[in-house]
Order: sequence, then structure tokens, then C-alpha cells
Amino acid sequence: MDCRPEPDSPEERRRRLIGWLFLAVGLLALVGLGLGTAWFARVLFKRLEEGAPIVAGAEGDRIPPLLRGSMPAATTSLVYGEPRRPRPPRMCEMPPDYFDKHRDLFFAPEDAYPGYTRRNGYVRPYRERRGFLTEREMRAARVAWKYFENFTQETTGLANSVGNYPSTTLWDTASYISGLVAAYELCIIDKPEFDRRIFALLTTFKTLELFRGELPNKVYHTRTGAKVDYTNKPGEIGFSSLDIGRFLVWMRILKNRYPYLANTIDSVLLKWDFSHVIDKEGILYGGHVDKETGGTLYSQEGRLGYEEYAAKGFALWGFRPYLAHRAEPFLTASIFNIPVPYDGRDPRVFHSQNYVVTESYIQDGLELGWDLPQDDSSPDWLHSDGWRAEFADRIYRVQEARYFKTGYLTARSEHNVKGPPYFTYDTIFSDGYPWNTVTPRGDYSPDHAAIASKAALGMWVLWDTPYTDLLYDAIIELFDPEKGFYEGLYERGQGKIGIFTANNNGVILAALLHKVQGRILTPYTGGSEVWYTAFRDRDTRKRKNLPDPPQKEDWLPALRYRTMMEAEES
Amino acid sequence: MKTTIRITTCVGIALLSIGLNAPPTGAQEEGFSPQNRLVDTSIYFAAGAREEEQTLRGALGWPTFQEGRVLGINYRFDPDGYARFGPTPTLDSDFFEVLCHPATRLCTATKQPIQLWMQDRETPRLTIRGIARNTRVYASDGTSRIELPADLLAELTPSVEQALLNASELVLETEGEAPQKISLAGFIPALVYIQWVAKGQDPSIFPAGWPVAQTGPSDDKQKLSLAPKTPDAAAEPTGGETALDLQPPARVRSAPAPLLWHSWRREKTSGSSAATSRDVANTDRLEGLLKICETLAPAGAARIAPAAQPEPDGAAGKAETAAKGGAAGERSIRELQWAVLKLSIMISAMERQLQKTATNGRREEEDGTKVTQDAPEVFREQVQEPAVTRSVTDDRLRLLLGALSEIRLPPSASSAGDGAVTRSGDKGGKTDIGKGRDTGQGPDSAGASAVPAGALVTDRTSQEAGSVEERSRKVIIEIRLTGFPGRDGREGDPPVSARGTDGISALLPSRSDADAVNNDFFPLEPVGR
Repeated sequence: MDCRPEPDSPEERRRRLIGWLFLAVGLLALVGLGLGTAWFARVLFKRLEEGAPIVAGAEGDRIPPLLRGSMPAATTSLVYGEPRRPRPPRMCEMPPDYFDKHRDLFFAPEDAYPGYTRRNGYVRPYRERRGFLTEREMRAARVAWKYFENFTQETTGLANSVGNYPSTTLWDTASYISGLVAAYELCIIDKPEFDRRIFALLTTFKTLELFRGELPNKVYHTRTGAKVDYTNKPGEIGFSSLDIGRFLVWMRILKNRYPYLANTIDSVLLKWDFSHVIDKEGILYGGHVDKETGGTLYSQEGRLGYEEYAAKGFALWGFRPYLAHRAEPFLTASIFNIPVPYDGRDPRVFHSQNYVVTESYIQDGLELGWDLPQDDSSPDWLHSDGWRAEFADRIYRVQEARYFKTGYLTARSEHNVKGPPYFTYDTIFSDGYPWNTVTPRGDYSPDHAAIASKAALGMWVLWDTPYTDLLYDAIIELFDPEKGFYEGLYERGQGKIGIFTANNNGVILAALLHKVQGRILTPYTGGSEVWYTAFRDRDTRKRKNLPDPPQKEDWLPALRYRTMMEAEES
Repeated sequence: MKTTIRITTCVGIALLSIGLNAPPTGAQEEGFSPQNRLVDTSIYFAAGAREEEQTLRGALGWPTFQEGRVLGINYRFDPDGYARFGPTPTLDSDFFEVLCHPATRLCTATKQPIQLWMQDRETPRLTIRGIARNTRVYASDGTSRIELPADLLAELTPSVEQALLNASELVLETEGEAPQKISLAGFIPALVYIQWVAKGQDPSIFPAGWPVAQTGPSDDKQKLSLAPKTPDAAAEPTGGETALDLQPPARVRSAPAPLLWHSWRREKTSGSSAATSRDVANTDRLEGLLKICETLAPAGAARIAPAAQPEPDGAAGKAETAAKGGAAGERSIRELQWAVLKLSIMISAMERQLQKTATNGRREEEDGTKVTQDAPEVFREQVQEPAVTRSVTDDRLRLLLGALSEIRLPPSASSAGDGAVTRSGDKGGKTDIGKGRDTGQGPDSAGASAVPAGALVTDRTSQEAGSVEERSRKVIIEIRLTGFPGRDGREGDPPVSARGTDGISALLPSRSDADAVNNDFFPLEPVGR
């Protein structure tokens, strides 16, 4: 038997050779990969070791406090890279096809389904009214402006709250500013007149004596600019975070629309001390004088509706009013099968009434478009502060339902009345009762129930329905051509409320402006703001609780409330 | 020059008086002004009041208000005097609303057509606005009523005032229209309030029995207590369903004073309004008669009661008769005692009337004028008679004697529990004379027309009362059957009382139909003196 191995065949030799070749290539590839990785790592680490140039305040900067103020406030346009909403021109500068060109910005697409979006924005089932003012509406705007022509004090630039009574609050001064902006944008006044008035006003505000060095007193004498009590005598009452919140909304509107006013506005606000008006949890506090000790007492202020509106005013200036902006605690009252939200804090415990009125919802809609403060990019038909828009719809629907069920034209708000009790909360719901009209001291006062002019016109602009057409007809000629719009029309047939106020005429002008320009708050187009950069070299910012420019993590959250949705479904 | 000064002075005084006398309605329509402050809300109107802060959102308004509860009525008022008085805590319905004139401190309390206002610092006046000529005005407690002058624009005379104080509502009846009822809840506090404001919040104006706050808030809010103005006013009249504690008339008159403005005011000025010796003599004579009545009452009842019942047949019938006789006897006794009480009350009312008469007589002598037209229509016939003093006193005497004749207790008395005393407006032929006169219906109509408007009237069925003439002769007591536990059904109200407008303010125990059956009585509301 032959035990010698058989000689390799040529085929086998060839296979062996190929095997060695593959092995060599594999080894080479591995070596190459290793070398390449090492080279890449070396290059990478070398670069990092050398350090990339970091721009102060930009990406990669750890931002020392001194420089923090130069950061831009984060808005949706910056964070999401969406185009900023354009600033609309004055009405007299609009081309005739303006509304046709921007139709997609104003009105939801045909296929848009009403309801919440993924980001908790809200698309309403109603349209707003948009377009040029008609002759009738323009006359209304001019008449409303008459109020401010008549009742603005030359000495201070402040406008009276009520007729010729020389007193005002920050809330009503904000209404005056809304009237002023609207008058300018609707081309009722020209820029010199606008500037004269606004500078007079802001200069006075710069010199106002604050309540105990903190924030503006609740009431000021419009002729002297002195802080006064409710009887307009020199004294001090306290400060209202709701009034200040509304004032901040209009300061931001002014600053964003007219950047040349920015320094003046910032210097006014930088004088204020925000250390007690908002706490770390984002709750708003009002201040008042303790009758016993004479000291200052701070107590939570604001109820559902007003509280969130004021909170957004603070948020527009970088504060973080998280809890004030949330709807909780709230309950719903079923009125005509519509779950109407109201504040759940018990008035018997907290000694503060939970009035449900139209005003704060309308103001949020007209001025802020029911959007979140950081939103500068969403179209008008999409409301990024979704639940606010949805709640506003309920407030509208229940008033419409009242008309269809009972025949009472309804547009309820707080309003002044002539003679005692001088002021009433004409509510949709309060103190456990629907359609409750109460005085500040708590008397039920149904004789003062009225169609409030400001609420009626605000609803007419924000809800384009046949019902609001009726409201429009009820109030559009409810004016004295020399004095302005009357406060409203009594529901029980006593005629008009024979009184003229800054708030009523200011809101009417804002409503008409909204018809032309949509959301009144326009995006900020500047860079750094003095408001954020000032006093960085001292402890003033910390003492006065002045905020840093808000970043994405500081944004107010967009929420939706399941309980409301369930109540609606049921 | 002197003439010019005189003319100027006269014109000035005239203008001033016009300003003072003008009703201050609508005085505050000019809107809010701090100068309109005329009330200090830290000075309490009544015990238990508190000063609160208003929740204002606007630039104007009053920073404080005062709220509280007095005589079962809630109230709130502002520094400008604006106030509401009503039974509900929210003052949301059935309230008197008060507006004040800042310059004069004169206020007007309004509820629907009722307008209560101060003519000057002393004189409250009452107006009912917008009523037709043929409208009849009644003060009613819901079961019985008294006619008031329709064209009320008058000083609030004691009688009208007392009628209103005791009434729960005002009824306006116009031919061809449904009666309009206006609640009088809050009338007393509103009346006191406008006087209080007119007097610069002077606590001495509070009537007897008013729950005065002892200390102001600046001292200590916790130290509030009921502080009666007079020893007599130590306790308010109590309501409730306790049995009537029959007391001699003198005891009744010395009981705690009720809230009667004029009574209290007269008490303060009694030194200047003494009655004549003849009036006093008449009064003494009446009181003597009353005592005789008291003595005779049980015997009379025992004599009358058996005769009032028919005799049933058989033993059982006899037993039943005896039982019924006993029950009827008890009822008769009570009826008799009640009548005695009525008389005592009438006497006290007459004494007050005598005082007024004397005062009127003096005024006529001094001024050379007749008694004012402000006197309500129902009294005008009397006060316009030439010899006022004599006629009124004698009339009262006649009325009293007529009432005494009632004490004979005719057969109807023994069946009082079956409805001899009726609720006005009850069915079954029990017709209130006032109502019968208005409607012209029912057998009482003719007789009723013979009774002066507002006179005290005995309500009886036609069967019981006999002929019209007989009834007319029997004058004049209206017995009311309401009032438990309070005039509006509210806890704590004083018991209501019967009254007449014919110058006689009689306070009678209140009963209901149910109580008439049970023969339960309610406490007698004492006479304010």
C-alpha cells in the first residue's frame, strides 16, 4: 500500500494561493482601519485640544452672569427655525389686496380640523373677522378715540379712567395705550401726535412715585401724577399684579412695534422692584397696606381668566409665572349644557370672588391671539396657548346660547355704572350663580346687567357669527360723538349706561385694530435688550428679581385639560 | 339798601328751604365724587355690624363699607350713604335702596313705588309714586289690611307709621287691575337709617329697643353687645309660639317698648304735650271700666258659654254637651280675656291720640291754621272738625263703649274657634270688610261701606254678625290671625299685631286658623310708650 500523500493538483494549489491572498488583504485592511482611526482620533482630539473659537453668549459658551443678558430670548422662530410673523403695516399703508395676499395667515385651511394639535395648540371652529374697516367701523374708531382726546391730561399724559374724574389705574392706562396704538395704526392720528402722547406718558411713568418703592400704586391722580387712594386723595393703597400684568402686555406691544421706544420703556420698568410680585413657583401677588400695622401685606391675586392673562404679561418680560398661567384649580358650571370654567378657589375661604366675565378672554384673544408668550411664528388661526382659546370659545358659546334660549342679548363684562355702586361685575357665573351681577361689596344687582360695549365689539371681531352681528348692531352706534362710547346697554331696558371710560373705549379701539391687523402683539425684531442687560455689574438685578432672557426650558407649557374634554364629550 | 338785603335774604332762605325740602332722588346721578362722603363706615349702625373693604378693580369707588343684620334685616352701606336693606344676605331682592344727598345729608329709601325720605333733619316722609287716582292703598300683613291715604305725600304720622311698621306689605288696588303687593321688609331699619344719617350718625336717635353697638371698631370689634337705650328696652319683643301670658293691662303697658319711632320720640318730648284734664279724666274713666270688665269676665263667660251650644239628645249627648260646654266655656273665657286686652290696648292708643290732639290744638292756636293736609285721608274727617279735642276724645269713648258691648260675648263668641275670628279673604263667607268694600261683593258690602276707611273692624260671618245696622253699631275691632312666628315667617321677628288706622293703634295677639282651632295664643306685643 502506498502511504505517500498524493501530489497537489493544480486546482488545489490555486485555491491555497487565493486563501493566502485573502488573508493578506484582510490583515492589510485591518491595519489600515486601525491607522485611519488613530489618525482621525488624533485629528479630532487635537482640534478639541486646541479649542474651537466660542462666541460669547453663543453656542458652547457657559455664559457667565455678566453676559447672560446679551442672549436673545428664545422664541419659536429661533428654536424651531420657523419664519417670524410679519409686522402688519398701518391700515392706510396697506395695499388694497393685502388681505387676499395674506389669507392663509389669517384663516385656517379648509381641511384644518378644529381641535387640539400635537403641540397642544388649538384650532377654533370659529373664524375671526378680518379686513379693512368699513365707514361705520371707522366712525366708531374715531368716536372711541374722542374719549382720549377729551380726557387725557396735558400735564402728565395720563388719561382719566372714568370721564372727567382725574384718576387712573395701570389697567386703564394700558387701555389708553391700546387706544393710542390703535388710533395710530388705524391712521386716526399721525406719528407726531402718537410720539407726543406716548413720550409724555412714559416720562410720567418714569417719575411716578411707587408704592413703597416697589411697584406702581393701584391708583394715580391724572393731573398731578401723585399716588392716591380710591377717593383720589394723596395716599397709597398697594399694587395690583393683574393691573401690572396688563400694563406689561402693552409695554411689550409698544416695544416690539416701535423699537425706538425700547430704551424708554426699559428704563421705566427697570425702576420697578419685582421681588414680591411673583415668587419662584410663578404665583402672582398683590400688595396692600396692613390696616393694623401699616406694613405691607402680599396676597395671591387673580382668578381664572384674569390671572392667566396677567401671567402672560409677566412672561413676555422674561418672568416665569408657571402656576399663575395654569388653569388649575378650576371647576366647570354647566350652563345651557356648556361647561363653563370658573376658578375653583372657594370665595368663602379666600375672600376673593371668582367672577367669570368676557373681558380677560377677549383681551387675550385681541392682543396675544391666545398664543403663548414665546410664540412669534404661528399663524393667526392657530392658537398655541390652546386651552385659553378653547375656554374663550366656551365663554362665547354660553352667551350665544343664552340669547337663543332666553332672548337676552348677552355680552358680559365688568363695567362702570353711573351713580352708586359705580362699578359692577356683570358675570356669566359667580358665587354659585349663573348670570350673576354683583357690586364690589357683594350686593346682587341685576338691574345693572348690561350688554357691555367692549365685550360686544370684542366678540364681534373674534367670533364671526350671526349672533355677534346682532351684538354689533346693538352697540356700534351707542356713543356720544363728542365723548366716546357709552359703557353699555342695560339689559332690562333702562337704556344706555351713561358713562364713558378709558377701558371701554380702549378695548373697542383694540378690537377694531385686531380686525385690521390680527394679533396686536408683533414679534420682537431687535437683538439684546436693555431690560436684560442693565445692572449686570451690580446686585440690582438680584434684589429686584429682574429676569434673564427666557430660554426654551423657561417657556410656559402648552397644555390641554382632559377634564374639560371629558366634560364636553359627556 | 335794607330792602335789597331783606329781599336777598328772603330769596336765599327760600332757595335754601327748597333745597332742603326737595326729595333727594337722583341727587347722586352725577357720578362718583369723594366729596360725597357723609357716613363713617367705622361707626356701627347696629350691634354685630362690621366694616369691610370693597374689592375694587377700577380707579374709583369707596374703599370700605359696613354690613350687618338688624331686626332680621341685612344691610350694607357705603361712605356716601348708599345702602340696601333686605331680608336676603346678598340683598338681591325685596330690598330698600337708599340714596343720599351729599350736601344736605338727606336720604331717600326706595322700594318700587315706595319712597321714604327726610323732609328735613327731623321729619321722615312717605311717598308712593305713580299711583292712579282711583288706587287704594292698604297696609297688610298678608291676612288683614288697613287702608291708607292713596295720595300719600305726607309726614309719616304715628298712625300711618305704626301701620307700616306692623305691616308686612303694601297692597295697591286699582279698579280693573290685579292688586300690586309690595313687601315692607326692611322698612324699619331703612327708616331708622335715614334718620341716623340725617342726624350725623348720632346714636341718640335710635329708637328704644334698637341693638346699639356699644363700642366702635377703633376700640374693639369684639366688644359689641346689645345695649338697650332704656330700661324698658332691655329686651326686644320676642316672637315664638309660647302661650299667651295674660297680664293686667298695666303690666302690659309697662312691658319692653317696641320699635315705634313716634312713640319713642314722644317719650322724649312728653313734657311738652300734656293732655287736658278732661282727657285724663276720660282715660281714667275708661281704665275703670276696663277693670270692671276684667272682674266680670270669668263670670260672664261661664254664663254665656252653655247657652251658646245646642242641646244634644241622650246621655252621651249630655256628656258631649258637658264636654263641649266646658270647652266652649274655656274659649269664651279666652275670648273675653282677649277682648279685655283689646280694650287695654285701645286705651293706650287713645292716650297717645289725646297727646296728639292736644299738640294739634296748641299748634292751631299758635299758627292760626288747621291741621295739615298731610294727615292721611282716613283721619282727615276727624281732624278737620272744629272742636278737634272734644270730638276725638268723645269718639274714642264711644268706640270704647261700643267695644265694651262686645264683651257681652254674643253666641258667636262661644264658637270663636270655628271661625268667628277670621282671616281676611278666607272663603266661606268670612269677608273682610275692607275687601268687601273694595269689591262690592258679599253680604258685608253694604255694612262695610258705613265703616270709615281704615277703621278697626270686627270680622264676622254675616250669620253671626246679624244685621248690617247691628254690625255698624258694634264697631270696630279687626282681629288679625297671623303672625307666627314672625311677620314674614322669619325667625326672630316680633309677633305681628292688629291695628287700626283710625288713630287707634291697637296691638293684639296674633293667631292663625290652626291656632284658632287649638285655642293657642301668642304673646302680646307690648305697647310702646
